[in-house]
Amino acid sequence: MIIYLEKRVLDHPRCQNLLKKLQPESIIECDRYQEVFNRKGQDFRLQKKKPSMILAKKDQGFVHPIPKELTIGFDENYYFSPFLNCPFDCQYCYLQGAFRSANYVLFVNYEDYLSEIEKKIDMARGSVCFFSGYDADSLALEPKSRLMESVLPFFEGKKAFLEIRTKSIFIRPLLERRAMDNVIVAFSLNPQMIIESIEKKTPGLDKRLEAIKKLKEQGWKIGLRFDPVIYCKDFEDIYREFFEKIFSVVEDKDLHSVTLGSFRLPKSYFQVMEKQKNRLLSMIDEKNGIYEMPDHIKDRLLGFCKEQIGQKVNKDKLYCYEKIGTSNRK
Amino acid sequence: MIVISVALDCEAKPFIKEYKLERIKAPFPIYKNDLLVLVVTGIKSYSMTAIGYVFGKFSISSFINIGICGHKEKEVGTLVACHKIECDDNAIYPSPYLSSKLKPIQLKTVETVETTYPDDCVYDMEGYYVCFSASKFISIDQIICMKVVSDNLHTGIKQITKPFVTSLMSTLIPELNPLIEKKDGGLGELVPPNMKVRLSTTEKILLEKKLEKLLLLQSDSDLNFLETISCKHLLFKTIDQKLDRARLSF
Repeated sequence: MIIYLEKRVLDHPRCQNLLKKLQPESIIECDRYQEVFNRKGQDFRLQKKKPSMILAKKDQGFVHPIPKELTIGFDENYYFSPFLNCPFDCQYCYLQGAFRSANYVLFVNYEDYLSEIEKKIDMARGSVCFFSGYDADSLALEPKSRLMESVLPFFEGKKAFLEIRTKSIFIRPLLERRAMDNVIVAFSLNPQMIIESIEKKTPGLDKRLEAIKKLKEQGWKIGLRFDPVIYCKDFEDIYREFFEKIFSVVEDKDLHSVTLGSFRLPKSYFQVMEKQKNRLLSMIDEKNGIYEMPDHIKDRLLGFCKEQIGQKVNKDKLYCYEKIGTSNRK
Repeated sequence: MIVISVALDCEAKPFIKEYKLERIKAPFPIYKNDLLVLVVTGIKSYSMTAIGYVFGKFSISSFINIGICGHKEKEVGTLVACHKIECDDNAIYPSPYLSSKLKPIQLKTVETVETTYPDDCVYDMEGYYVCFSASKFISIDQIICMKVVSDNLHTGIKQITKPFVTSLMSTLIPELNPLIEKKDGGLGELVPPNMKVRLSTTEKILLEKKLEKLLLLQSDSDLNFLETISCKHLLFKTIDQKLDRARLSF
């Protein structure tokens, strides 16, 4: 792997450990990560084949608010991203439109994130949840980042929740600890046929279910994220069988929350992804600045999935995101 | 097409011969065949003009800058891949291409010949300008810069004659060959090497493009059939049929 390195983090212990571990083919120094990560004229698809890693320090903007309607029942919601980008290659992933580069960025100053989170917790007026899987998969790069080694002990005993959202089956950092009441391990799931078709490089459904089983047996709170569900030929048969499989492994009592959403993208992300020959984009059309499935298809798909999930899960735990930026409709 | 840029005529010679390039009528020394364009840019910021001309005239997919450079200690003849190119306070980061023989290093482009080599990097007189100029036309990830060390503190620059430069540059040919095969026609990773059918370079490019499209539509497509078919016509017909099926399948 090729490593780009901000000169100022060269002596940071986390950086030194990582360099020892990764044994990079080449180390290229830079002043600020943006000159590599944000430069114009990058080829996302080409970089995705063999991503480099950028080690950097974040100076500001450690924690960002999330609109209340896009969350899972908490009063205040924030996301934090010491890691940008993901080793998986899902065709619907908005990171392809959000970032110019497919290279990974790791901000090594985790402590600054945690101190900002601490401040938010102190100021919170109601229940609060922090999401770590918005700009990256929370666990996929854990073998390199060791982020959970810092984050989980921090959240121990805190009056705040943490959502770890992932498709990864690297759950060792969780299994090695006692289950925490304020941590939700949320798995993004889709039928195996969809995984094989458009979720490249991700673990198969059976492996993800195996991971869920181990975690729930140890007492971890589980989240299920059916977002996005994908419209396809015979979707009713495919998703019916899929939900049956899921709920044969995990029951309502094991679940903290279930979210449901269809494939949608902000216009600006769509325009970037369109240049990457992403065929999944042909499924969505523009409506009020958001690209989403045509209403009649979306209603059928979400209606069916909601009904299937509703048979197994208490409706208070189900959050259906009809549209980006609009209210949850339970 | 792929563009190879060099600063000097004597740097171009081995490549003109190796790739059977022919000079075309143009305001700059430009040589080409069906796949490659080689342009002799000159040095310093003047070199950007030639790059702009080449990109305006041809349809370019990849850009490779090659040439000689100086380094404080590295032995003459050392091959390097430049992953960061600086000029004054500006920097660009071309594709981090690596091979077993190419040592990764930083390049500084300077206005006058550097004979003191103050930093641990290689020095040239056009790399930044041509790569920066090319980055205005294609993705920075399709730009590669590789150099061969021609001088160091020990040797100085006295030995740098035209024949010496030509001879040094020819050592880059083995490094360039796989890149050209790989870069042209897209990504060059899909066509298996042990096919029964013999294809011309143009046919390989066409095949590569069709396979890319097939995998885009159907990522789990089984490509084993490529190695079993022994008739060129049947090969392309099979791919076209698979493409049609893939379009209907989702």
